[in-house]
Amino acid sequence: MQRYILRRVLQAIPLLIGITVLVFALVHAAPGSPLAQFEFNPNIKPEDIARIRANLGLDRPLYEQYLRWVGGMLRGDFGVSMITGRPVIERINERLGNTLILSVAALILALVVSIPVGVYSAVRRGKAFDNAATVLSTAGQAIPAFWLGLVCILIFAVEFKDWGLPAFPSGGIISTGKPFSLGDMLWHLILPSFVLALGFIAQWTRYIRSSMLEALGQDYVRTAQAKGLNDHVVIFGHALRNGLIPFVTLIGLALPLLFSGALIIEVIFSWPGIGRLAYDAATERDYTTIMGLVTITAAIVIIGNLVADIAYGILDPRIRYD
Amino acid sequence: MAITDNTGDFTGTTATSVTPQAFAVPARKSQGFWARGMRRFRRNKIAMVSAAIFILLVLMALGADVISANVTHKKYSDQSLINAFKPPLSPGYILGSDDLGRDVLTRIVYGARVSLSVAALTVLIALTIGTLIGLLAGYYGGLTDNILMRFVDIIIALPGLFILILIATFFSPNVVVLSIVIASLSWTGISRLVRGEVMSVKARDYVDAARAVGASNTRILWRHVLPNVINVMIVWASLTVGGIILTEAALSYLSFGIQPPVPSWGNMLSNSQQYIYRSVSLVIIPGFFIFITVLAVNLMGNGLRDALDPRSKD
Repeated sequence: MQRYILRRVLQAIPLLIGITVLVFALVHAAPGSPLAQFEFNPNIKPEDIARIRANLGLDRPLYEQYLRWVGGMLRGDFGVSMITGRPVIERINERLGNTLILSVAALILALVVSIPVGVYSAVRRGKAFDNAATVLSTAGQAIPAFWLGLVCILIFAVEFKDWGLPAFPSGGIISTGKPFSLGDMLWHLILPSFVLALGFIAQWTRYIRSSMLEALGQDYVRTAQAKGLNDHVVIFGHALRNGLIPFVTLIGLALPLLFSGALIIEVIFSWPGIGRLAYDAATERDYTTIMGLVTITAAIVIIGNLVADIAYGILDPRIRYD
Repeated sequence: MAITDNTGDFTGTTATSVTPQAFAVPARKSQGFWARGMRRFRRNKIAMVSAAIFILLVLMALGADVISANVTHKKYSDQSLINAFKPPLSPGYILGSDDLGRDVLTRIVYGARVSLSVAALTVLIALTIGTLIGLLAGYYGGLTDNILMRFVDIIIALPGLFILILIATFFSPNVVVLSIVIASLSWTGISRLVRGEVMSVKARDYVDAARAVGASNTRILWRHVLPNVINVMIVWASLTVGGIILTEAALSYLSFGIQPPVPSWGNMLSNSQQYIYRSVSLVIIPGFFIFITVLAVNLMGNGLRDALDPRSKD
């Protein structure tokens, strides 16, 4: 087991290096240079431009610039924003927590809905509930999340207010001008986390349904039924426990999608997370900030997958470790 | 692995042409893999209805000019501020007009053209890259396989939209550029599928036989291996188009995709949030078209999977 964990960790390192190389290459392949704004300014002398270039380290060979960038990140220095001049890591730090709140809320919501619905669909296969769940999850996979976000704002924020119902906030993380309270934040969290979760609910319900169907057809389930255990114990104690094991990997694989989804949701609901930051940075061509964001999110994804892999190894003793 | 057994008669399309007369059963013509797949597909009512809806949408996209000239009598960029925010079914504006008084229906049909071309082109590019990498990795194995698959791992770990908006800032995206950008992150799924198929196909006797008579690697890959992964490619493509339409719409919505005044279903929604208090239909209509298209394509894809991939079951 320890060797398995060690091997997975060692495999993650070249992956991380590969990602930093890719991001670095991508930004350097970008047309135009960060100094273009000076080069076309008649009031700036060529020697000044050369000095700025040297100050920024842009006159160095590419591999040296890359090593300096990676070395800095290892020490927690992601450079400074090309627009605001503030350290990138500061900007990311103040936003990352908000994105994690949104993502974790969506993940929990997705699990809490998709597991029971998937299990019940499988148990009552072909019945009305199963058919309704199938139709809804098929539709759920086809709905553009950003559109659903807009429609939710339209109904629950705009129309609810018109109808005199308690309207949800159309955006933001807390009510402006009020002191912070947990209830207020949760109230702001409901719409965005639901919209972010919907795609996963749709997909995971299908997945859990089919893996439950498979588990329910196994010999150990028939044995459990044959020895007279009640349905509840068989379904939850035997079938579900085994049916959920591969699901752990699926959650790990969902992480990149979760971050991508969070980006859109944060833009629609003005949620001050790293997705919104990436969107603003891209709009302002703030490459250092984007490079930092991509590297950090990719690192989180890799670590998440690593944890999922290890959890899978622990949950399923049939896994061989060599 | 029933899949490769079935594809064995792919090159002969209908088995009758290669079956000696003595064995031919006259009562019912035996069918090839594709004919049987098509029959299974035609029996699937949901898939057939979805295919019909999808064909309608494609016709709408192709006929955008005709609709613009004969039905709406407007171009997609015609503005008329005095006619802004017309509700649907207003005289002259069948689906209403937007904040600049542009006809929504005209923009929807041209938007269909943009969204569907991006989706089709993206799938083609992603199929090409992914199949090539999957073929090479699966066929050659060893170090080639290892390097290529680690590259796939890297692309998969990237948070897609973050990279897409980064790349999109480098260019001013049009249909072709946007397709290349989206495809550059979308090919990983098919490369893994093709790799897996190739690994099982290359161990088969007919591949050994081809090698024994002196066929080159290129010829084996092209003539003996590729035809056996085509059904996997078709199923993957049909199940991926929907996601690509959603990605394009999301990028255009974030204003990193197709740029106005050229309409795409995504960028038609960009402004709608701003005018959400004035016009509900501006929010509803483009999203509805995205939804219907993706739904139709996904259900069609499910049908194709059930028809062409004998291993799959619900």
